[in-house]
Amino acid sequence: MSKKTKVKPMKDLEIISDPKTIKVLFEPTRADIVFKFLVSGSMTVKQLSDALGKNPGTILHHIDKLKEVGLVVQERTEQTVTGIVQRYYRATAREFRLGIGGMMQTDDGVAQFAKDRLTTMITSLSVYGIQVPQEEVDGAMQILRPLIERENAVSSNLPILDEPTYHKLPPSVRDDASRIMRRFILEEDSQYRELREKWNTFLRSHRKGK
Amino acid sequence: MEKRSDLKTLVDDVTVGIKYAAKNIFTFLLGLIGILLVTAVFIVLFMIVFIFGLMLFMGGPAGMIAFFMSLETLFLGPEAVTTIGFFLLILLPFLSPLFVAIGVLFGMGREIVESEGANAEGVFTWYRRKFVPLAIGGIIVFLVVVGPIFLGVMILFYTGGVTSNITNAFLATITTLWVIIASGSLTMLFPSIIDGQSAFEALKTTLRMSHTYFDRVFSVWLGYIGILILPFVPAIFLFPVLLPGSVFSGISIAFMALMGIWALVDILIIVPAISISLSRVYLILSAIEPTETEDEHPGISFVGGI
Repeated sequence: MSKKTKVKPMKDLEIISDPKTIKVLFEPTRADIVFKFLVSGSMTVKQLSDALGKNPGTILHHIDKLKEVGLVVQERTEQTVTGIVQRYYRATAREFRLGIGGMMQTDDGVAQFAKDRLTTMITSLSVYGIQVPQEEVDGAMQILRPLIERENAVSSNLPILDEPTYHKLPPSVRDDASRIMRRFILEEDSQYRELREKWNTFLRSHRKGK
Repeated sequence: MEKRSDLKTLVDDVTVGIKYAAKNIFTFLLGLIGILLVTAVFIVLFMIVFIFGLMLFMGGPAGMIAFFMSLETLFLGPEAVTTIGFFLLILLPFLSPLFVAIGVLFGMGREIVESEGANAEGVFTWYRRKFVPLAIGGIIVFLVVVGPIFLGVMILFYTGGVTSNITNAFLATITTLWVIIASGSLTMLFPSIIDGQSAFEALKTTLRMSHTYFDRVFSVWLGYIGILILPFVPAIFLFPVLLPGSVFSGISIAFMALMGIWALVDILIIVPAISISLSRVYLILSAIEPTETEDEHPGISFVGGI
């Protein structure tokens, strides 16, 4: 093994649609490891164990599971002055979104969670003056769900034409550039524009005072 | 981090292992006791299931006893070695809890290397989550290291045995070399399994690492073999002189006591230190290059959802 092993750089956005991966993330400790800590930067097992108040063996097992489904990778290994060798782990993307389609295919209550979450999202629009009656919530979900899925599909497929230069960019610059381009390609996608206009029409018609 | 070895690296590898084994001596002791108890229970359970199965198949206790009596001719006859080999192969799965117990030591070693500490109840988590791959890994190690030796014994047995002292010495040397090289090549097997690989992926990893980083892997392994065994070497040569009841019996008792203390040190500190050092070497050899560019102003963003 003379070639040096490298791991792929962190992606900006990853849509998780595999039901098996979604189920792995539904364990609270694993969700915390990924969404609270490893999306922001790399950490060691000891740092995660101290942050979460769990013992290192438990954290190692969770990291194992997350590596298995490709959500976490080993970023680097360092040796401390005491002789301890620590692996730093990070998430494979800065932002993860759960694919609604994938969630609806799972069992163990994940599908129900997805449905309940969509319902709550729609009814909570009342705080912004958008009143959706209970009998229209299902109809609202039928408009919102394809919009979210289309946005995820387009945003996660942002083509990078100059990979070597892209990977040399500082992460914060890469993030900003990625957000600008994601917004642009969404505007260019006619299917997304159509779905968004349908949703905006729905919101306008349910604005308080209308 | 240097992946190659030199004297300083070897001393560091061994010193770190012994240091953290001594620091976590009670954790390892409690963990070992717990695991050995569970292992003994498993082995007894397997045996009970096997015996009941055999009784059902043989038509009751009388049939089973008659079967074992009939084995006497096989074990004492000209086919004895083949029969012993066959029964060892059947018994191998029953020994798998013992292999898992050895593998679980590497789980504790890994926890210590990554976080400077472990707790005793963690061994049961490793036992539960890695039982199958560690069992398969242990069987692989047993077959690779012991298998060829047993084959050699079979060949000697069926060709009439060895007659000269020189041939004996040659065979003993070859056997020792095989055990050291085979076991050394498989030292990264259990750390790879603990790292999440299957038994067969771990086998490929350990063979690749022991080939590419021959110096690092074998220097640590031989270093520890030396520490484990060398203190007992004088006893082998002095044993005829220091037999109890001889003129030197007071010295012989003191010598035996020293050997007993070293055996205890081997079990309580050196064996755990091996798991720590090998886990550490595995992490160093499997280290990858960082790919993320440094961010001069991390977290500062200019752009939201425009």
